[in-house]
Amino acid sequence: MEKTTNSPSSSPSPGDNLAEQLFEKLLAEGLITPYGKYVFIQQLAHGELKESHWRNALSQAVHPQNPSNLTNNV
Amino acid sequence: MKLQKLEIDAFRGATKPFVLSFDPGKSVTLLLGENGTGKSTIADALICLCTDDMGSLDDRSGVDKTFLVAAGRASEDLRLALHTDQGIFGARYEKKKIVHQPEQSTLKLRHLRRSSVVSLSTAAPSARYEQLAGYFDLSGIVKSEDTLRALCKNLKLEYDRIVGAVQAVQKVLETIWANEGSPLDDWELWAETESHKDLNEQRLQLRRVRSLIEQGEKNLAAHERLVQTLKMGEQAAQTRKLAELQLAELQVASGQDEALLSLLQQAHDFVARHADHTSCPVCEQFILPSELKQQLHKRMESMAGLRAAASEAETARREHERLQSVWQHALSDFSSVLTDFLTAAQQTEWPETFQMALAELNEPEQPVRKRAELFAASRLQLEMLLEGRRITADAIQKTVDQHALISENWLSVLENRQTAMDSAVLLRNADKALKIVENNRKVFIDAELAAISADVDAFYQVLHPEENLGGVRLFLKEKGKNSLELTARFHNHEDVAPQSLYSESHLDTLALSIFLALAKRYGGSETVLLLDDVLGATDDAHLDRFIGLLRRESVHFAHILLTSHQRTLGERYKGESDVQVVVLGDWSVEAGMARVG
Repeated sequence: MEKTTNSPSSSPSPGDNLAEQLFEKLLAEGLITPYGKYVFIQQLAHGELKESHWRNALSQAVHPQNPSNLTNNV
Repeated sequence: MKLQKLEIDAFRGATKPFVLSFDPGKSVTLLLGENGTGKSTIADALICLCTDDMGSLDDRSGVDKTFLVAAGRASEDLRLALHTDQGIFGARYEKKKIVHQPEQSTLKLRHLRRSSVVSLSTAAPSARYEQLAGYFDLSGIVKSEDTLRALCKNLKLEYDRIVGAVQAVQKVLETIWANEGSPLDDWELWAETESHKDLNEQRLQLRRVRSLIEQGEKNLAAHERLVQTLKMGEQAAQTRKLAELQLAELQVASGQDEALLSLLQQAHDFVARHADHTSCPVCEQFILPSELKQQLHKRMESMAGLRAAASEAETARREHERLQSVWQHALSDFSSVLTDFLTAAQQTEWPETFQMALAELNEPEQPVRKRAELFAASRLQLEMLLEGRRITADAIQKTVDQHALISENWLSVLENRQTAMDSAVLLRNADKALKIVENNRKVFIDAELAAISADVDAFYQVLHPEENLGGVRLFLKEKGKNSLELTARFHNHEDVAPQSLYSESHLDTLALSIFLALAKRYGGSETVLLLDDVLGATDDAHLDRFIGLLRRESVHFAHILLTSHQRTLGERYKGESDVQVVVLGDWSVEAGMARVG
């Protein structure tokens, strides 16, 4: 079957939707913090989260830092 | 989005410029024509404009992609342009590939060709997953999940290492505690208590004792040097005395004086230096220098024994004087070192006898030689006392060292325990996060597949009403990875693999239903749907139902284009309000493609 368009999709892909769902569930369980949400979701959806990113995100929830010191926690 | 017209030139069958105008009021276009009239050219043009694929040439192996350019035309002539209400989207051929203008466009196309129809319903589960995974691409999520899984594994290793380190340090402390007789009945309480003890006083005492020992040892060494140099000096004095005695005896026996020997030597040297002088420097009488030299030499030869004795006495004298000087330095050094020792000794308690010796040594104006004698008398006692001090110092050192060991290890236990706790929490959370990601991904895919299955089945029932077919299910194989199963109902047989029992045409319509369901769910209202010659084995009744389905579903798409060689369709749908019929005529290299209806 065909490949899809060569243009960026204007609507969220299933991967984007699932990434957002996962973010909300992880947040609800207190496993991550809300800071850096957009970047986290993007990296989660596109497979760009490295071990160090996961570790930082999970550590943030265990030992929260001052949010004003955070620009991008992943 | 509304399609307005498609312009094709120097592309595939379009050896001459060709324009396909779309009816703005109609959302479905039937493109009909015999084989070789240019239907695939139009389909491929849309594919090249909207995707990175090359259309039907992708299905064939060993194809020279330069034949995208129409026969007899130059590659720079190739032009594609799709006019829409949102702008013009073009493409040209450059360096053996299609270049889009603009580079990024909003065009979206879902297309299905005959080759894909067959494979969709009959492919192996893994191949089917590969085909459909592009619609709900979760490869990014899977990759992120994999890195989270790797993190969990590494966190576990880290946790185990920290716990191991804590246990090792605890074992050291427990061993020391047991060796100490297990005080306080609890090694942790004992370790904490010990680590809080202040050992400054012991450290100070240790420094003092070590200093005293060092001073005492220096003293002993200095005194030893003094004794040795004194002995050597005495031996040298004895040697000197003997040598001088021997010289005196020889002088008496020979009646010769050592001084005369010296005089004769000087005279000989004078005569040798002044060989032209012929008068004696003493009596001024005539002399023959050579003869005089000989005589002097002869006389000195006769006094050889005396010369040897005189030389020996002189050597003994010099050695004696040298050793006397060395002894003086040793005495001075001993005096200095003794002063330092006496200062250090004041801060220590000694046995009474040694205290008395120290008091004598400390007497002011005491000559150094006298001090050396007094020291010699107390030397043995000092050696014994220093040995006792060494034992004391070793005992204090052991206490200090053990305290340091206990303190360091106890601190290490506390730090590592905290680190282990933090690590355990992180590990637990990471495991929890992984379960959430895994489970939700599976639930998500299952939900998507369930929704798609429902749509597929609904479409299939439209195409095959009352035929007791359908019950279509797409689902992931439980144990396998990336394995997409497809089952359906065949009369009273539930959940069968359709390829086992369905006819070719039923498999075709099943594939079309799956494609349509996916395109609808993941396409959107800006999507153009292209079905290129997919109706091969479908009979008229099913064909009409299929086109009816397309007409119904066209509200969900920007446009639907269906190509077919069945020209009878043109007669049936000509004049319909929502269906545009385009008929292609015969093609030739000279004339290119032609529209005849």
